[in-house]
Amino acid sequence: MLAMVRSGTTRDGFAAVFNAHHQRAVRLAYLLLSDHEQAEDVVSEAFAKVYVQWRKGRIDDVGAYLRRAVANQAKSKLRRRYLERREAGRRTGDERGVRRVDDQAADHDEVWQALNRLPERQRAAVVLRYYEDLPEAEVADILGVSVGTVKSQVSRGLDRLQKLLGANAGQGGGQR
Amino acid sequence: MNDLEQRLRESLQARAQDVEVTPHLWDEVERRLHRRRLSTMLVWAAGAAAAAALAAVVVLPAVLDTPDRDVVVDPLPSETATTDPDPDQPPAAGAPNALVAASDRDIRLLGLDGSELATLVRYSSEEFEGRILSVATSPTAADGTLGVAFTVLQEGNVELRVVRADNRPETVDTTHVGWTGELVPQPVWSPDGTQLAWIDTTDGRAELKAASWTPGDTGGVLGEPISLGTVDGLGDYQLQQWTRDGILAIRSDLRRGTLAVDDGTLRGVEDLTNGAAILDVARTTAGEFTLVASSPDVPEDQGDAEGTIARLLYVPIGEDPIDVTLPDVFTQGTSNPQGMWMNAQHETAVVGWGGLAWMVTIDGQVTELPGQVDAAEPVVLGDGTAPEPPDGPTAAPVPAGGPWVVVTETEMTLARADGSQTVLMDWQDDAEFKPARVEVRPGSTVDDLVAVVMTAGEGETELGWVEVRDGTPAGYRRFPDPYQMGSELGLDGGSTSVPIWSPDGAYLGWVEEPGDGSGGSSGQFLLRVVGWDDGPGTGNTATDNTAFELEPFAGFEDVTLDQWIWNGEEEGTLFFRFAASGVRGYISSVVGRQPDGAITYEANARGGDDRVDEAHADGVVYRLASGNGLTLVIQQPGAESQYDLPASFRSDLVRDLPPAAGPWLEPEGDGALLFSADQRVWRVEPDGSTTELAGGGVRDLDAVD
Repeated sequence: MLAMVRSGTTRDGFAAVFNAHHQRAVRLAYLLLSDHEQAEDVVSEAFAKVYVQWRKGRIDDVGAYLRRAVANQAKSKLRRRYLERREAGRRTGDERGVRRVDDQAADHDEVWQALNRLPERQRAAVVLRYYEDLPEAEVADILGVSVGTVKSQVSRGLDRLQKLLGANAGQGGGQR
Repeated sequence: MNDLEQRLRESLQARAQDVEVTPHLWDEVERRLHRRRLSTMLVWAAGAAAAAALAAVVVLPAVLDTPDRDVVVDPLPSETATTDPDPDQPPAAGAPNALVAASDRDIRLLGLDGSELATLVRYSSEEFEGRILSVATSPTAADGTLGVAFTVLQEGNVELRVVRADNRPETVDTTHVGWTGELVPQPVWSPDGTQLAWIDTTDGRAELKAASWTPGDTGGVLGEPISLGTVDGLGDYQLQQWTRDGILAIRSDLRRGTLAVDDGTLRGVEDLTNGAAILDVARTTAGEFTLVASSPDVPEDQGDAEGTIARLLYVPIGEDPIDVTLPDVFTQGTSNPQGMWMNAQHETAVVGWGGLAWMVTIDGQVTELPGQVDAAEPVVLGDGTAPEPPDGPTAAPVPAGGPWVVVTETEMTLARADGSQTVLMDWQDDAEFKPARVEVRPGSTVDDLVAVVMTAGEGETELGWVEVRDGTPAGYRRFPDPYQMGSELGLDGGSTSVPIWSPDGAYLGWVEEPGDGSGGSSGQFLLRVVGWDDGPGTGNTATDNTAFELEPFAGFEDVTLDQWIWNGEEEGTLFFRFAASGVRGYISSVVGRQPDGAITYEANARGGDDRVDEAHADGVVYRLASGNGLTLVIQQPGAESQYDLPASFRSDLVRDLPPAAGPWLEPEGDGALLFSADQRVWRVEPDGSTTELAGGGVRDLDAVD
């Protein structure tokens, strides 16, 4: 196996895998994180994990495996980011540091803004369900939760989105 | 699809289309692959899948691109580098009388002549599609038994299991380590063989975890893993050997150091990339074996040497190194020596390569072991006789002093100050639930007492209480369902902290972490407060049963309610103990009480929760510190006192600000503290004197006012 690695045969093969999947993976990571740099970091790590299994011939569906890896890496990244921002907020006395909204992305897309305000798990379930168009069972498998939990998270996520969008509309109405 | 769903899809698609991948992404992937390849070379040398990862020895990486000379580097950090035997190793470790050998699907106990004494583990191909990855043998227990920890890879999951090795094999427990198929968590045993540690890389984090194991006739029980701290640098550590200084570890970037047992930080890091050519090292009570890659001795006029050979050096204590005879396969020259491995006990080593293994002794005897052997260790088995009671404090299940309410695995006992005892509840016949913690209601006396007990079993917890009325035990009563932990939330799974009483005994509070549906953590925490009126619940909606979201802790790994103080009629302070990735400590929050008794909780009532570095209790601040010995530091306004704890206390069990299980401290209100770990309890007086109240089997105790 080492000889294969060194000869470059495996590397070239994996480069083809990368080319086929990297763009969709980065997009998914971005939708989960709202941060392009962190999205690429997550995808890099996810591909490194995929490589280990792919090299051993243990992956039947690279796309599915990669989605799971990206989701897991994004989850870790969100936790770390939350703690870092929370610490930053504590030091400055400004709790706005805990906001998950990427200011760069906070443009006129109200749905996107509202999505950024969902809790991490609701957001992941919603993104996988409505961007990747995955059935609930597959979302559950990726997130490592039950189908019931996915149903609950998606439902609660949609409810919250509805409220957030409604609130925005309400604010707009007040200005009229 | 409704309008919201349609808008959501369109927004996500539009946002995704705007994402452009930078050209550096592939470079970054390649950089990470390079690191992992290096790591793979370190741990899983080609052709011998499980061979290299054996515990209780030091496995050093081989960098063999330029094997032009013998290069021997010190196998241990310089502060402990010595050819003296490890003073922490049990003196009982003498000449081996058996071997533990593992292949893909079995672990066997072999005699020194290669005969099979017992099959410790054997998985059929029908029931087990995975393979055994690594084994680690504990030090010999007093009764001669061993714990053999091993990891298995099955369906992408790595599990840690332990089997007892004393001719009565029994797989005692299984711990799911986490999903990983790359860097296998290599377990290591504590020097006394009672704890097992490993790196858990679940969820992309690297956490140093440990679980207790008790050898003996019970077969041992692998306790619920506890976290020893989050390891910086993800999962690219391989543990090598647990010493009193910490756990030696090697990282995939060829750096080596010592992981502190108390918080997982890496100390004494040194670089190993400068030509390390040691294949494996094993330190024993008699000396040190070193398996070295070297170039063949070829006369200058016969051209350059080809391939790499291996030499086994043995350095007896205080003597010069000697060459140990190796099988021909090690000495005939190869371009791929990375798969060679070695373990040793006393003056005997087992060497292996490519599924074959041999026992070699320093006097030149070489014996090939039968069958496929990917990993093996020489071990010392005893005769199975019962161990002698340990020296030191008597392991009385109920402590002197008191009055206390004490819970052991099977009983709750009221221990009065005059030495008399009354069993309040017996769980002997309850196969499912066993008591774990007890909290005595403030204001209780030995004749009129309420003690809430949390029992645990099968992954569930249950709350109940025991009363004593007019001096007569009134039995155990289970909390009604609405007041059970997590019951109101309709959740599958989840975890809870120990309930604590408000100082006036009017409320019980605890923290719940709803499950994520698969038995995992949700990272969302709730504060539950249940009023008490002759039992849980008051029937008054103001005080009956309330839950508050703990937003400040979202995403944390562990949160418990540690202390509850009333600062007045209307306001109090809650102290939450938390652990998160790389962070742990205490946070205080304001708790309010309205005129009707309703509890109010607002995390930001004072403009933000307050982070404190130590636990607060009744004006006393305390923390644990461990340096050369173990010191309990008690801080009070304007003063700090340091008390030495008993020498018999095991410092490796102490963790500063423990996140959940493990050592606990409890203020007694008179300036003294109760201090417990490893099911032993001490009372630390304000003058610094310590008294062991109970040892062996006490799960919890609480003082009666």
